[in-house]
Amino acid sequence: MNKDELLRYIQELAFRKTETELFLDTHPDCRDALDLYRRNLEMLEAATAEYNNKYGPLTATAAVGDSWSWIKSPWPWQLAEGDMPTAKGGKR
Amino acid sequence: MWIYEKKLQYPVKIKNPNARLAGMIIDALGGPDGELGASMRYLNQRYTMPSGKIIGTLTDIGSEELGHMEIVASLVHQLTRNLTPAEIIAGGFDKYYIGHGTGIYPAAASGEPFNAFAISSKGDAICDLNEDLAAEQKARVTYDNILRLSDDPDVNDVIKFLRQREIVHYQRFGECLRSLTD
Repeated sequence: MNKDELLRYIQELAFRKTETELFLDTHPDCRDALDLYRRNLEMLEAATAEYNNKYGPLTATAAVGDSWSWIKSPWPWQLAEGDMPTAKGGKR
Repeated sequence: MWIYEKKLQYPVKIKNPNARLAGMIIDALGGPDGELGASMRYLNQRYTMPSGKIIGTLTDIGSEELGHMEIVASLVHQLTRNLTPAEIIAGGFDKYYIGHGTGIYPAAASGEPFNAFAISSKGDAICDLNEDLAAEQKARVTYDNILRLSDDPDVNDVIKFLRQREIVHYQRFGECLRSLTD
């Protein structure tokens, strides 16, 4: 998976994690939900480790190397060049 | 304690800047039914709640709302990039722009700054959970109103995600309330 595909996959798994957590808050003894939560968490942790390794840290603790890589990858609201087809008004 | 993750809960990639839409969507951040008020309401209500079920639900939904604040701020940020002065005036964004430029400032679409009166915290579980149920519906209606006025598919895709979350949160808060009343 390329960077965008892997991030999208992580967002899907993280969404499933959030949604299952909320469900478990009000259904704490649901075995199916607990199993789903644990299986999904393993997939999320594996995908996150792969992303941290290949494309930069998703959390500060995953920053590695001789320089503080946490501040070097783009922030989530910043668009890449390919995301901006219309160049109008110029840079500011 | 919170840990920041360098990703949005839902991707935001807006191709076309649109000052008028930005001026409407800021309401979902700093309006009376916006995400700032939602996160502060739930996270502050937790302390006097009577059960782990309710405290857990408020903690997790309140935390998710912080992520929604970031999504709405990203929408406004991307919608206001590279605007010309003429576009700012034509889009009615001039009143916001004079005070805040294109910085993210929590305010209602009407221009009123965020008001903590939007956060209700009464120290009473029945009262607070009823407040939360209403708050989720009010946020849902705000997103419905945005969808009625917006014709940008990139924006609407994100707004539809946020709207869905209000419905799920309403469901969970309803279960919390029923755990007290049944």
